[in-house]
Amino acid sequence: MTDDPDREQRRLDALRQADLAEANLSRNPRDLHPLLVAADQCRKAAEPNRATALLDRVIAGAPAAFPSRMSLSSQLAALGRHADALIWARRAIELRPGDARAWLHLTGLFLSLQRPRDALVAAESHLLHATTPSPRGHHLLSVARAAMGDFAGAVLASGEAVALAPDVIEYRRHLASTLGNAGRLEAAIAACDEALARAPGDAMAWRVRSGIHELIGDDATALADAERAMALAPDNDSIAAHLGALRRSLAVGGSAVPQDAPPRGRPRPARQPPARPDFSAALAARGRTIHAILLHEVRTRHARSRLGYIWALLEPVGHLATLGSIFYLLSQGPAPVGESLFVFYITGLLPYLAFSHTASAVAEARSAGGSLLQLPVVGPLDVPAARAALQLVTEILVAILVLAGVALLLNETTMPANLTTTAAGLLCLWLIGCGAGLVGLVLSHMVPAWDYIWGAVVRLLYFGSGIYYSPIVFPGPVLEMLSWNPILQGIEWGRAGFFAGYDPPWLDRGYALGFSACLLFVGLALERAARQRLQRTQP
Amino acid sequence: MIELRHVTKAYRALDRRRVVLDDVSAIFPDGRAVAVFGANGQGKSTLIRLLAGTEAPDSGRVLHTGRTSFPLGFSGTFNALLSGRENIRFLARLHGADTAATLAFVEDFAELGAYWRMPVGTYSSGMLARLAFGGCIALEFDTYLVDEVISVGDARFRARCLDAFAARTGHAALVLVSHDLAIARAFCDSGAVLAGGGLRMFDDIEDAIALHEKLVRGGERPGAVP
Repeated sequence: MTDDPDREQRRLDALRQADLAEANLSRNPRDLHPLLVAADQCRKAAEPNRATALLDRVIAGAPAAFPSRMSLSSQLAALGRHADALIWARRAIELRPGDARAWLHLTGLFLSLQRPRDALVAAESHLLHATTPSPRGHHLLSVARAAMGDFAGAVLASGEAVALAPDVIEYRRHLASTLGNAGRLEAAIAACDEALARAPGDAMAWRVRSGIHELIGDDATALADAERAMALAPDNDSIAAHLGALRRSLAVGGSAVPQDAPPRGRPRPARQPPARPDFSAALAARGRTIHAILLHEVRTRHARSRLGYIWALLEPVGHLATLGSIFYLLSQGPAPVGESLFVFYITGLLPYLAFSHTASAVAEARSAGGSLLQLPVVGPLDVPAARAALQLVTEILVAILVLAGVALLLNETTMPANLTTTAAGLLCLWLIGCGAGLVGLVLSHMVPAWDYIWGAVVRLLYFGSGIYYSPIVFPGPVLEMLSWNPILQGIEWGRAGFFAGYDPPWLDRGYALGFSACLLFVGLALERAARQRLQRTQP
Repeated sequence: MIELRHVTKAYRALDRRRVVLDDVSAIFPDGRAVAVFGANGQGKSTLIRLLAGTEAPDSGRVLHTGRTSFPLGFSGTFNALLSGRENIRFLARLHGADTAATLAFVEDFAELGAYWRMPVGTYSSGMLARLAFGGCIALEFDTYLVDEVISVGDARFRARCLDAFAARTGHAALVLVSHDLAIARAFCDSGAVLAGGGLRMFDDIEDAIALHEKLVRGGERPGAVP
């Protein structure tokens, strides 16, 4: 049969080696290595049956060493016994779970067994353990992803493989094929042509090119490519099948996509494009949205209770009455400013709560109104803006209720001496609340400990803002330090309007306004910068 | 009109990046109805969320002219403690629609009976879907977004949904994601195919369907392009 004397010689050598190995086995039953060497030689010398028999004896001997298991698995795979090969590849990996080469081998086995999901895991383990760049690992990862239909991922992995080993035609061919399957047809043709520029005689590359042209709808080129592939590899069944299918589809009437099919679907009336809204209309729309959210907030804030929004008013009123009374009873003596100690406390506590309530209302906008962001009409700042606006309305109502209540019940004068200045102080604190709230809105999602930090800041400010005392009681240096507190500035601003003739020297309106503007700006900038990240964590 | 300008969007899935849109530029024009095709997991729903603006692209811009709807049948913004009526009134106010007309339309359309004035939390899933569907088509949008859900309820109600929807979208642009080719053909004249991070637009829906079917066949039987 064989007319090549060299080859015949190798065959005889291999068979002799096999006999020797088997003879050795009867003396040293644990020495499986010669069997593996002989099996390898037999297989290469076209004696697959002898090789199979030898490997069966190795299996019977249950090799315990990693190299033997790997060699056994590789040879079983080469003989087409993939299922057995898989068993031994796994046993090899049990011994060395960090061996990149073993994982790569396992990947190939899974692919041969049409188990792409397992192949994917194996390929990723391989890449994890590989200490040098592994183009083949990326290639097999791509094959696995493509087999699972993840062509976008396959393109990425395939590109990696080609970048690492630009000269391997197999990788380039596969890249072209995944690009084609991913629908990126121009890129696929380009990749294909690059592979063919390096290996013009590669039949499978021509076959891939034909397939991509078929997807594009260029059947003539698809046919020409397929015929070229056939000429280069006349024995290839898959190319023959492809060519046959192409010829049949052309014979029955050209392209699969009818070129002049009548347009389908319901005829729709022509429509004037909507006019681009101008700025004032956009502003009005924004205002309408915020107004709607505000009303929604009013309706839903205490929706479980029969009293509803009334609770939002009663809560701070109760708070003020309780705290004001306690401090009033604890301390005796004249009020630092004005006639009544109780009224003095109220003028500190009311604006302070306007600040802290607004800050938390804005900061909690995401958790409270986050689902509204699913509506395209709702912009990212609409819910915070609506909550801030509602808080301002609430605080003003609370102030009116409390001051009127004190006037009626305690018979005190509670009408502000200068309403505008009083309102300006309150507004300034509200602005600081808005800015702090925006900062909190972002940071509570970025910094896990933010809620604790903010809690500490609020408690500190509660005692450092001159609610229950006038800063005059402190010596110069402390007073100097306290006057940097913008909340204290806002409260004193309000008192300067409330009490006639009260104009403290430490009050700096410019500083208070500047601070609130800066904080608001920082809050807005933070929100803008983090918007994408916030959106991504949307439930 | 919605325009995608060099939009890239990727996800981290487990431990790798999954690119849904890779530098895509496309226009969904006014008055056109576009059906978006793509195999499972190619990111059709992500595309809808990007178009709705509820998700931001990693890079690039999504530009809107005119008003874009929330995805048809989306009920995630309803407050469970408020009645269907109150929820719809809020939607109408939010979109600047005529509140009374919207309420009348949805009350008639959703067929909720006494539940119309009951908290949404007490609704069955079918009732909730009818309310959400009615709430969306009652409002006037320039572009409607549809992610699979085109009709809800029993056969009779489904027919009503389709009629009402056709009456609405006849005037507006539409971006529709559906596996149902019959629905896509009924409502859309153009098509788009989303695959491998690219979005190919076709003037004729049949061209899109042809490419989509080739890609799906290829995906199920690796080796269409070997």
